[in-house]
Amino acid sequence: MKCEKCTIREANIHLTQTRNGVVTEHHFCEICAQEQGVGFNLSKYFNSLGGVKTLAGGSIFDTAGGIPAFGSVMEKNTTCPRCGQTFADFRRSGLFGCSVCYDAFADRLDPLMRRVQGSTQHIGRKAHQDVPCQEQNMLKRQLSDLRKSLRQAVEAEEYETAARLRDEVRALEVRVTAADSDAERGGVDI
Amino acid sequence: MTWYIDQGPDSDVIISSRVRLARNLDHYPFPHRMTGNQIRDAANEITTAFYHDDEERKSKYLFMDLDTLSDEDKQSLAEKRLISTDLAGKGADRRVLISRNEAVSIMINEEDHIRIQSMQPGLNLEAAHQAAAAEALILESRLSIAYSEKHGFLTACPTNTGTGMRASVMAHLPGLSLCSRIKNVIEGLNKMGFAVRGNYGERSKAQGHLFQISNQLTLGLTEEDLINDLKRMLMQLIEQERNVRRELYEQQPALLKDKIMRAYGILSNARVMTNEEAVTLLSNLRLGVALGLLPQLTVSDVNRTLSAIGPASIQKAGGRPMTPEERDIARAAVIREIINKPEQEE
Repeated sequence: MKCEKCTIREANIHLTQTRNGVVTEHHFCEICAQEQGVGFNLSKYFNSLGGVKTLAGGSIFDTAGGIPAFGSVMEKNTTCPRCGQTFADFRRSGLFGCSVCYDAFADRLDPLMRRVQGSTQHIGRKAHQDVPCQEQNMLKRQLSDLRKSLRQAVEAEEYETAARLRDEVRALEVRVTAADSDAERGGVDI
Repeated sequence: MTWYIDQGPDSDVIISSRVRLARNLDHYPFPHRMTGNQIRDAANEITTAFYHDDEERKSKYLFMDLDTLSDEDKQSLAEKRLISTDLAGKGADRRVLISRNEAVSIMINEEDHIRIQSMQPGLNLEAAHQAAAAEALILESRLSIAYSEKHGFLTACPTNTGTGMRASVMAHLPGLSLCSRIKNVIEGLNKMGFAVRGNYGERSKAQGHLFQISNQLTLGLTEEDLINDLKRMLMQLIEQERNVRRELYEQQPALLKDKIMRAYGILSNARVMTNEEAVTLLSNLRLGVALGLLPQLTVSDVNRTLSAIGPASIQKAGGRPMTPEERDIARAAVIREIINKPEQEE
C-alpha cells in the first residue's frame, strides 16, 4: 500500500480513527508522517479530506511518550542485532543501546535527527582528523546554510525553490566530499 | 592557574567556559546496557590507552576510581564540576582522570564511555575546545572509536550525536535577573537553539543568578561554527547584562548599593550560614565587585569563596564528619576568612 500523502513510498503507519461512529483509515509512510509531525497539522489535513470533524490533538507525534494522540499506530519494532535493544526501547529511554543501533534503526533516524538536531549529516571533525582547514569549513558552512533553506522551502511548500535548492545541495555535497578526500590524502601523498 | 577561581576574559559576567566531547568505544554497548564485566574491561582499556605507559602523562593526570572515594570526595569533585553528579551516583568501575591543574577531566563510563571536558576561566571557549580536542585526538588514535561518516561520533543520546560537543559557559546574570528580564532572555536563547540551565547542570535551579548556557545542537555544524555561534550570542548577552547593571545603578544607586553592602556586611560577620544563603549573598557581592563598589575584593576572591562553600567541600576541609549545623558554622568561618583577608592586609 502506498502512502496517501506522497503516493510514492510504502505506507507503514496506519491510523484508525473513529468519529461519531464512523471509522476511517489513513495510511502514511514514515517519512511523511514524521517529517510533517512538526509543522504539519494533521487535523487540518484530515479536514481537507472532508467528512472528518476537527480533532483536538495536533500531530500524531505530539505526545511525550511517543504514544499517538488518537487512533492506533502500528509500526514494526526493529531490534538491534548486536545489543538487542528494540526501537521501542530507544523511544522509551531516549538512548541508543550501542553504536550498531544507529545502523539497525537507520531508516527511522533521519526524521528523528531532523527534529532533534535540525540536520541528518555530520560535517564536523572526523575521527583521527586534525582541525579542518579554512576552505573545507567554508564549503561546509555553505552546505549547512543551503540545507537549512531547503528545509524551509519544503516546510513552506515552495516546491520549485526546493527542487532548485536540492540540486545545489547535491552539487555542493560532491565538492565537500572531494575536498575531504583531498585533505585525507594530503598528508600521505606530499 | 585554576579555572574556577582565576579571572579571565569578560570575568565580570562569565565565570568560566567549558567544552565537553563525548566519545564511545565501538566494540561495547553504551554504558547503560553494559554488564559489570564489560564496564570494567572498557574502563581498563580506556585508562591503558590514555596513559600509554607515558610517565609524563602519569604525573600530569590523577587517576581516580570512584569506588575508592568517599561520598564527600565524590561530592566535592562534583561541586568543582570535575565530575558530573550522575557519575558520582553510578555503580562500580566509574573512573575519572583529572589533570593536576584541574583544567581537564576525563570521565569514564558516564552516559558515554568517554567524556572529555576542558575548562577555562572567563569567556575562552576556543582554548577550552583546543585542549579537549587534543585529548580526543590522542584517544581516537589509540582506541577503536564509534564513528560513522553520516552521524559522526556515535553517542548514547541522539542529542550528542555528531560532534559530541557541548560548549558551555557559567554566566552570572544578576542585572537581568533583578530587572525581571531574565525570563524573556532565557526564552529568546531557547528559541535561538541554546540551552539554559541552573548552575549545577540538568534539572537544577539557578541559585545566585548563575546560569549554564550551552549549544543545543551537535550535528550538521562544525565544532568551530558551534563555538562561534555561541560566542557571538554571548557577546551580546554580556553587553546586555552590563548595560542593565549600569542602568540599575544609575537609576537607584542607593538601593543597589544597599543590597550589595548588606551582602558584604552579612558575609563578613555572620557566624552561621546555609549554602543557599551564601550563594545568594555572594551573587550580590560579585555584582558589587564588578561595579567597582568593593575595591578591596576581586572577582577571584568571590570565585574562590563560591568554590569552597559546597557541603562536601566544607566537610572535606574540616576533615571529619559534620552535621548540617556544624557545616553552616564552618561555612561562615570559611567565608569570613576569604572576604575579610584583603582588609586585614591593608
